[in-house]
Amino acid sequence: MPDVTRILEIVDSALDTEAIARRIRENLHEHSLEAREFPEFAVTPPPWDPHSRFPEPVHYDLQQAHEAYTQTWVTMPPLTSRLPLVGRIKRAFHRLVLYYVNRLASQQMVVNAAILRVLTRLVVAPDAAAPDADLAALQDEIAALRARVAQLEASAEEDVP
Amino acid sequence: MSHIRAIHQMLGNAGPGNSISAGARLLRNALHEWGYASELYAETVAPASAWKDARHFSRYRPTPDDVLILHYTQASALSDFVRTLSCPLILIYHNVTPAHFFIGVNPDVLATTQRGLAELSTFRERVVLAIADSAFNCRDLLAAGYPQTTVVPIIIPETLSQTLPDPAVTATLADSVNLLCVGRIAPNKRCEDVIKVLYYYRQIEPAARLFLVGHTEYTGPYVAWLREFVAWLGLEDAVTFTGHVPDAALAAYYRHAAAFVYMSEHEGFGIPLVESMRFGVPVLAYAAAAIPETLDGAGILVHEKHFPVVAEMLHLLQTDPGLRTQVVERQFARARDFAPATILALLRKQIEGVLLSLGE
Repeated sequence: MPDVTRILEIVDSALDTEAIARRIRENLHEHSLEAREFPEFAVTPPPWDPHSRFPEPVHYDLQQAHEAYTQTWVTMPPLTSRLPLVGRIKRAFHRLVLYYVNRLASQQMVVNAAILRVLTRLVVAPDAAAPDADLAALQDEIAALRARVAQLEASAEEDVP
Repeated sequence: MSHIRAIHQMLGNAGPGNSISAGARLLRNALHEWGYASELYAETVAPASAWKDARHFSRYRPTPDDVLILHYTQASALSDFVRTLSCPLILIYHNVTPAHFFIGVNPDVLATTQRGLAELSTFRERVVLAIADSAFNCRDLLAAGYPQTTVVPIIIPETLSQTLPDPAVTATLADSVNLLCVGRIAPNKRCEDVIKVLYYYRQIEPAARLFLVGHTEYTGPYVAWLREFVAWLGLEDAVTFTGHVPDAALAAYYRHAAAFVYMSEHEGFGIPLVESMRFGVPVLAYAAAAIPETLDGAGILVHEKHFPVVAEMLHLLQTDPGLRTQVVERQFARARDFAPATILALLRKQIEGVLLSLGE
């Protein structure tokens, strides 16, 4: 059960904060609200370290992708003209074009960001290294079992009259 | 007696719906009452007729007896212009959102926020008084090398809480339990965390809805991702991105809000917190940056983003009228600390103190 008094702070001597915390705990139990995982907007690219199961170029490319994926957003200084009316028309046209281009760009960035989040999670996921670790543990276990079997066989042979 | 006769203000945007400019306008009126000439100069001036009293900064003509107040939020053509002037400067620092929040969101904003903090120190030689609107913001001023700093909260006009709510908006809010979050839709606001609160709260109160009220320009990829996130959670009918709304609509959202939920991770002050307190809307806010300071014991602070617990707290506020009343009463008391007359008196003391030293 979460420590409600650590999560919420109510500074009011007229209120019984302990009673509020108790009621929240009771309601949590009654409503069965369970914490769950959510996707995140921002994911930081992982720096390469020698223990990574992926070679350094993979981390380099991931870093590059993180730095570049927003570059589809278009910015340009406003168009100008010495004639005020022409200048206004040019600026209005310029804003209109940027509006539509950047609507497209923002959708593309959402796709790029989603792909990057998936790639980043695959690279940094704690269980990404698990198959190797599991394999090593299994090999150790097999070796131990083989030794044990050999030992048992040896002792069984000794017992044979 | 000081020889200064004019105190003008320079700000990024002047127009309705902009909190800094609304406060600057009140200050300008107060400066007139205190006997100073005072004009508003801005980089962007809204075309609305109500704001014809603000001018583009390029129309400013310096005179030897001027003092300028620069409202600083980011690097801009206006701040470049102010740097070329030689008159004494009063810097009012409203905070620069850290640039890293805009990586992958908007390279323009990323650049201006990066420049914004880097260039904060460049006014140091000419600044006679550096004001931060929170102690949290004051840290940036100290880091930028300003030796004399003071904290005066931002001026927040009380007109919004006196505005008649838009009946058309009010009609859309009648049959639901409305959670509210107000502010530019930007990554530092962590709107996704407010959506997560709604996700859990809907399991307790299926009639709950969330209204995210604020500009969606400049943060296109983030807004698009949020919409995808809402769809992924199956909350399309429960979450509304209103965009920027006029005051009457904003008043309607506040009037009919069950709670104000703020999960922002970077706020230099948090103006919507004060507005919520004035409207009597219980506040649940993440304890980051200047937020604990602005609430100062009012509302409910969230120290750890455990969303089921936050949802249960919302449920208690909805179902226990005594608890809700007590929370709201304490918020009203805190909101009174931000009465414009109080803040203007603080500012006057600071400004006239520094003018006196200039006249000596």
